[in-house]
Amino acid sequence: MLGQDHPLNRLIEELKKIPGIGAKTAQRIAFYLIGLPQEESDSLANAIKEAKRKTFYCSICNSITHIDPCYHCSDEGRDDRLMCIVEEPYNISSIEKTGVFNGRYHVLLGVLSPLKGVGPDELKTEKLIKRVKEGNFKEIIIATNPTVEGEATALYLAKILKSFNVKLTRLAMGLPVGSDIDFADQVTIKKALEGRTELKD
Amino acid sequence: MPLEQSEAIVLRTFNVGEQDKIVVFFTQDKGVIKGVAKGARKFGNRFGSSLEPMSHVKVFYYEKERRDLVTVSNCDLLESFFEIQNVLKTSFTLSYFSELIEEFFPSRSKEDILFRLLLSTLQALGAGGDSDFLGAYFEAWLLKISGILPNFKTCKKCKKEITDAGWLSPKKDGTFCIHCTPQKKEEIRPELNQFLQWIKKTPPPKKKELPFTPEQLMHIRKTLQAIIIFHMEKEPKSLSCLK
Ligand SMILES: [Zn+2]
Ligand SMILES: [Zn+2]
Repeated sequence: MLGQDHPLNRLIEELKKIPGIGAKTAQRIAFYLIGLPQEESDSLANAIKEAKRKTFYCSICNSITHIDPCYHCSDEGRDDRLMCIVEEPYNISSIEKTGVFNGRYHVLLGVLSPLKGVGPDELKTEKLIKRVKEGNFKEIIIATNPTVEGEATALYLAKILKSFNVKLTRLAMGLPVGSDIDFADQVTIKKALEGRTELKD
Repeated sequence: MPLEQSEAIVLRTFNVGEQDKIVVFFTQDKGVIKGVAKGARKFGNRFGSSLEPMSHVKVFYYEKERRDLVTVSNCDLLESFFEIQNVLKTSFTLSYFSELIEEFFPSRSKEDILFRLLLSTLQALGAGGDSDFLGAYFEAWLLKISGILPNFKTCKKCKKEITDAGWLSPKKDGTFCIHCTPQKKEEIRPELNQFLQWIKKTPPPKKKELPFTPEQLMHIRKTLQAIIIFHMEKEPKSLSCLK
């Protein structure tokens, strides 16, 4: 048993605060870190410090960046008529990986979640509204998660954005690629039916 | 470890680990149960939409010795209330119900009446029922089941029947008549008693036309919520969002 004031305990306590890391994993990581050569652990500690010090939210889209505006906002090759709204900064990389979307992004930094105390007033949408008002967007794709909270947020956004002359779309919800229809539940199949597309030759 | 099963309604979920979710179920036979659904955030996982809030499900799980958390092995969707939560007010109202159940009935114990109340209220909402009215309906029944719905009919002090307006006692455990009330802060209108009589005999209404006006309903809910807030010692988070 380590004493309360043991430095290793402090490290474990800090690691435990990371989402997804429990007591056991925290302990394993802590012992691994202690076993590293001094320069490697210094390098990790410095990487955390630097990343924290040098990154911030993009003043335009709320993505995490080290330059302002961020890479996606300042890229002149991207289409200014298209916007994709996502919940969190890390959602951008999932969409970027597809290579299909070449417009601009907007990060909400959350979704409506009454149980966490996030209502329409807490969800900061002023920046988004200002962008849509002043920009030249023709289509806005709402790419919140296909969950109750993501859906409620998408519909709320649709409501506040509908007065602007812009087409609002939502990512299709339905069957995951590689799955089997027999194992999908009724909500998933219904959504897939509603979002069906025409076959063209 | 035998496999157990319960009919349940999902109250909420939160993420844990890289791909898992913790699910708070309100089961018909054991009350509130928390469980880990392994892989529930993986793409195309076996749980599908069944773990979304307010899904009516049959859940299969293993109990672990000396642990609060059960392991969810499967979850079959019986009835989904995913789509009705497209309406923000409905969605927030349902979050509010879920918060109330966890606050007032946190422990594992059978609450059959409350379970049937929640399910029938969900079904009424699904059939197009009014969320304000059903909100009041749910609040009143929940307080009744908790045993903290005060007597609004007779004065707490002089025991005389209250015919006109009364005032809620400071400890929210009774009503004072106009002669006995120490303060005139929270007025109780006669329609509250009528409402409580009405809900005793009527299942959650699916209809739009209702026997109480929006203004009456507002006063009824104000009293019910004052009692809820008093007992929770805070305003429910979801209620502030609803407002
Ligand atoms: Zn940006
Ligand atoms: Zn009296």
